[in-house]
Amino acid sequence: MPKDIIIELTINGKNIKAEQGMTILQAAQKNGIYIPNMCYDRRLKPYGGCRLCVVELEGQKRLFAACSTPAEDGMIVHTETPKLAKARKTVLELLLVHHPLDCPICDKAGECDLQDLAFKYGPSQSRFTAERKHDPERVDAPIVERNPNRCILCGKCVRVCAEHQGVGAINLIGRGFKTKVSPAFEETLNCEFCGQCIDACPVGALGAKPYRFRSRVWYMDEYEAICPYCGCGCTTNLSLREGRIIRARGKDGIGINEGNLCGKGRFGFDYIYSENRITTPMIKKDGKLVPVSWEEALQYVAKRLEDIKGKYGPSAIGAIGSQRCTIEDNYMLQKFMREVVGTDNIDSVARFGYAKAQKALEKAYDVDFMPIKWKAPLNADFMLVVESDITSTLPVWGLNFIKAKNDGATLVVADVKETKLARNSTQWLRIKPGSGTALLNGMMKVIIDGGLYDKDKTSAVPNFDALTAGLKEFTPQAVSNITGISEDAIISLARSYAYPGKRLIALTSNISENTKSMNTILAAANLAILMGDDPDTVQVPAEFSNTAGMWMSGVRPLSGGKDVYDMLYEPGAVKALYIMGENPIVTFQDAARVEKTLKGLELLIVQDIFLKEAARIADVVLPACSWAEKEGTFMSATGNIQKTPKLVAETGQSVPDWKIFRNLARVMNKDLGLKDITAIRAAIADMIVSGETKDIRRSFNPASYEVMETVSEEYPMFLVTSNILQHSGALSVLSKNLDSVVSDAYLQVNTKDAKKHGIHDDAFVRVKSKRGEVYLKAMLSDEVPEGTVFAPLHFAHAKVNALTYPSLNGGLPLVAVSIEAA
Amino acid sequence: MLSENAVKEIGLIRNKYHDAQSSLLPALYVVQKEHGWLSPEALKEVGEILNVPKAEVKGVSTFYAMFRHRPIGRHLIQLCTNVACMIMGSESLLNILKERYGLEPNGTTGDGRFSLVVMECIGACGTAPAMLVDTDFHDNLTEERIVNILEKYK
Amino acid sequence: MEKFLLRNIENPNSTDINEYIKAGGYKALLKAVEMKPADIVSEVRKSGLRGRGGAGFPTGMKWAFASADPKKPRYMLCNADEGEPGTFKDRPILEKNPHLLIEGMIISGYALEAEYGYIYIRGEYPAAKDILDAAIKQAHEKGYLGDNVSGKGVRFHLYVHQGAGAYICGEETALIESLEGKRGQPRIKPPFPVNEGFLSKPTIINNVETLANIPYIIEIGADAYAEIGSPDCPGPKLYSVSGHVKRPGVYELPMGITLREIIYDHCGGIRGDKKLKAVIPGGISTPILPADAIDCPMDFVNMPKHGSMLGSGAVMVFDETVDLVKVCYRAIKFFEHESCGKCTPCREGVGWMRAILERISGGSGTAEDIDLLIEVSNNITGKTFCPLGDGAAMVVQNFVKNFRSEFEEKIH
Repeated sequence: MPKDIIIELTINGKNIKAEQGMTILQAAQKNGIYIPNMCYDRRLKPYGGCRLCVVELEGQKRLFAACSTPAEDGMIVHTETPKLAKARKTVLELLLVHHPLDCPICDKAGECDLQDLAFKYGPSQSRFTAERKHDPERVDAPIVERNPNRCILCGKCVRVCAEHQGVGAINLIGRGFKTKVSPAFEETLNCEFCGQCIDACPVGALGAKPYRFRSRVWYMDEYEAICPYCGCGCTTNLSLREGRIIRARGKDGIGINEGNLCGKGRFGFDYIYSENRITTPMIKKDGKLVPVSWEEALQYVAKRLEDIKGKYGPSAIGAIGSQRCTIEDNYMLQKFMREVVGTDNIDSVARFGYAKAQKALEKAYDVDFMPIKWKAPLNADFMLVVESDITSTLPVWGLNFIKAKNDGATLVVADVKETKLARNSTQWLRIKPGSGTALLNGMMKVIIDGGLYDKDKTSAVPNFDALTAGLKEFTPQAVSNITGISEDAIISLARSYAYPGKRLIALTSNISENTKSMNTILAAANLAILMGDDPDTVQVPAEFSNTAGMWMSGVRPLSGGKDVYDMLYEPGAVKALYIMGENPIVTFQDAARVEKTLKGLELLIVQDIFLKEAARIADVVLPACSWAEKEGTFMSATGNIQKTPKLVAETGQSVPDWKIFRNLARVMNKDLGLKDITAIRAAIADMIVSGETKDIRRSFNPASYEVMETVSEEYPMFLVTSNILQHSGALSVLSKNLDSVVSDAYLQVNTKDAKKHGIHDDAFVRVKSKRGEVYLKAMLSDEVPEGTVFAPLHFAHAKVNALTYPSLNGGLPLVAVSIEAA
Repeated sequence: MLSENAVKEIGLIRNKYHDAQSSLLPALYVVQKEHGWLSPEALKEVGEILNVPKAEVKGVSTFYAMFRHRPIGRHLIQLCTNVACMIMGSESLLNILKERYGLEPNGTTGDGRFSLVVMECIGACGTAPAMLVDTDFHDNLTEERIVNILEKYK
Repeated sequence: MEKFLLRNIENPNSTDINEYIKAGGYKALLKAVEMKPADIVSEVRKSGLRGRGGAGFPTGMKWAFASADPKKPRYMLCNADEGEPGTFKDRPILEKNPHLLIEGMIISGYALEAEYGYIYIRGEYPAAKDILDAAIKQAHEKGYLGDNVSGKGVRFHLYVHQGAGAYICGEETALIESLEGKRGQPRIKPPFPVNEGFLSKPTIINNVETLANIPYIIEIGADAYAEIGSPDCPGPKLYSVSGHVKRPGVYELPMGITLREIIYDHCGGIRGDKKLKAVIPGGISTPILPADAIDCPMDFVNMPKHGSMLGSGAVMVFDETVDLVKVCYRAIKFFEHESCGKCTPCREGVGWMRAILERISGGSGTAEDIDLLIEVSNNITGKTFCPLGDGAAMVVQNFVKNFRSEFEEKIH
């Protein structure tokens, strides 16, 4: 439907403009005219079930449902007439046939559409209530509770889950009068627990368990904040009662997420109330961390830093910033290190994550930072996702891939794992782990040999000959051997990719993953350049809430300083390390090596919100404020710079990170010149620019396929690691809400492999690599194929990173392991 | 567990459509023919074969009156009681089934021989009352005729 | 009148393709593939054929809409989900004359450049499903179906898809949902199936009887066809007659024949020579008529003028012994059972009507119940998503309007 054609119609005597193809309801909403409705949701196809949105059209006798009647030029619409009031009253009476009037104990009361509409149009109850349903309330599932008796069968939850989230965990079961919403077999709900159904529910049939019976809505204040988890930068609406956050929800149209939230954003806020929070500064005395005053702690830090600087020089001191701390915090960290300590040894965990993407895109396009485009999937005709679990890394952005697919775009997923996007794809190519780079190279070879690339645009790009030379070995046959998919599949993928239209390649670049390298992203960029496509064809999101902001604020070596690889994997490279908001023993690969390095330091300062593994071995621990306890700014993966407010009181004696550096500088007799957050913002205004600051210069960079470890007789399987949807780094595991969904690490094993090794579901498995061994609970699943096992990295005690190893550049850090029943 | 044959048959059905979910109803028929009813395990398995979430499979299967979600007897009597059959005497047939076999709508005889389902119109109004026993069609039923017919089903 | 739709069905081997060919079958197909597709569409348009499913929409117009949409592939669907109580008119075609339907579908597929056809047959007709499967196999073997129909390079593949007991799937968009393996809930229109139907592609859905008329139109030509029956609704029509007549069954008669002629001339009048009490002329959802209102011409245009509708042409005859309150209750019970549950008025309102009728019919109704029943039915009318709920409300309204005293007698 052409959207650019504007039509004019009259609603309630007001002339309004609308786009052709809009329904009457959409046209009204766009113009701020409210029409009652209970089954309409902007994100979903119109349903037309509740019949409350009926309107009158002049010249027509019957009533029309506004949600499913197209607006037409010249139409004269009335939305509030006595006839409509009566029609709505009758529909409400019919809805109240089944709906119990248990509003006094319903958490939804006060923001319930049915309550509000009954208040407006009457009646207070139905004359027919004899055959009400009496289904038990279900509070057995984590986080989400269901009250089927209150359900009015608008079907929004079902449609949000299937159509919008691409899950389909619940459905309308049965038919007619007896229909009910339930998981397939009335079993305990087991889904991804995004909670989108809760926000969609117009009544109290679905609720957030942590919020159950916590407050009447009118006793709460609601504030907008930026979600602390991933790079989406979603706006979350936080409800506070007596200074405590008790719920988070999305609100239609608000934020880049337009009201969508994932489970982390909706339920994960409670990590700030974890009992693991550090409440006072601590210094290690006689091998034990003991609480001290801020003054003592800062004096101690200052003295020790001065001592080490004096003894070894400033380059013996390093710092690690945080992708979760604000721009202000990171800026002050690097400013303190550079101006007070005098070192350029500043880096972060992003070195093994987003920095790889940054490095690849810098080579390909000569840019410093390339933000993703939120709506890129929606504009694409052909989307290729290579070994990337987009809906786990950036869950809400990932929804756009599903929407694009539903709207007719092609989605091809090449992945060893059956990810959510794989399940929702047009085609899922189950390639061998780590073979995505080879697949992309193979596609390019087919495209070049077939002359299907953009010859005009590529003629001006340097290194074309090097590219073709590098692709020589990537014949369909060779790539078929590497990827395990047929030559035909490779050739037809390449050809359909080259078909005219808007293309998109999406990849993640996370530290937790081991099936991609910088070369994978280079290969994707080569393919985009080869087809003459714009740079935004390659979409690589920055992973966390402030990965981009941290990068932009200078937390990386800028003048030859040591990077995080040197600092953490080369014992003795630095003598003192200042870690802000990071727990390297869990998040970095080859954990044993990292731990050894940290233990060998003369001084380890950990400034964090939790007392976790790295903090426990630190010489000094400084308590920082969490998100929501301080004001600050994040830069999302899209390059959006967004402020998030201080909403709750500081925990214990915690202080915002930026302020700790300000104070510490003062103790060290240096004033950083920035006394408050306003001053910091002014100072960094020039520095933080949201991407695409200069002209693009394209070049080809042959991307080789180097596997750093192969399977052997001793270690015959590949271990794949990555994020999982319910968790994010090591932060979310401190959320009790999220912990109730997934509380422990596990090892996904194919059912056939499990049989072969005598491994049972939920039993322990010993997993061994060259570097170490760990014990994990088995989860039998065909999401992984034979010969491959999968483990998430979030759980500290599981120590999965004892098995892995880091790779900075093009090499693929595949991990060969053996498994046996423990 | 579905039999190898059933899985094969579903695979053949799959080829008739340009989209996997379109083969869901025929696939459910394959399962029902083999097991007599649609167990949760079977529904799950069909969903896995066709890449359809199990809640969707269940939601679809419970929408249609002819899919069975509980085990049934060896023979399924589907007796029409809609208007044409009603005015031609289907009520007395229900009474006969109750008296003679102890069979109530949605019930099964103690010996597992018959299950009874009351049907909406089965398109035999001109020769009402009528019923299906398994897939066999019987019409112009009388109290005597229905007993004679059922005696042939052991 | 010479029979066409039911031609040859007395032959015990009528389902065999050779018998069908012997009786002149597949000649229309051979004639059609020599014509241009667009010419077939205009021939059907000229014939004045109206859809026989119940709504009476001009078939040629539907076809023209579909031809105008460039999207491919297109799908040709046959609605064989004959679920309207009282209706069994398509059954003789499905069970005794399957090749007529198949021939009609191939011609339609060719005319509309649809390469895939599906016959959506109700689950309650298991025998017909097997008969159609066998007939399709024969048609393949004879080269009438497949990648090269009759050696003319025309592609048409035909499959039978079995429904599983859902009246609502007779509604064309619900049928499409069901064919897609979903819950058979009707879709919002627009978009119409001719533009976005099965798997979002242009889709033409015609009733069994409609498609069975296509070979006839090709055989005798649109002009000759238009001469049969009523001027506005030409062609032969199948009437399925049930209830208290002497000779119930399916009759092929011209459009526009009166109800009285059907009941008394063709079906031999009322069984046991009892008095006629009422007639439902077009399947359970069409308004019930009292005995003195049967001099109405049975076609799509004239029946509304006489207070009812042609519907599917399913004539249900009630003699003086029938308890019409009970019939009304049973009819509403049917609608409640078949309501898909998507929209509020139908889902909740029809159940409520059933509860009131259950009371009245069972003798425990109150004086206010009849008015309440009408009020609830009025609250459904015009507010439902699809015609099912409206149909249920209309049943109640017409039963009470024409036979109020019977309801009142039940209330003491």
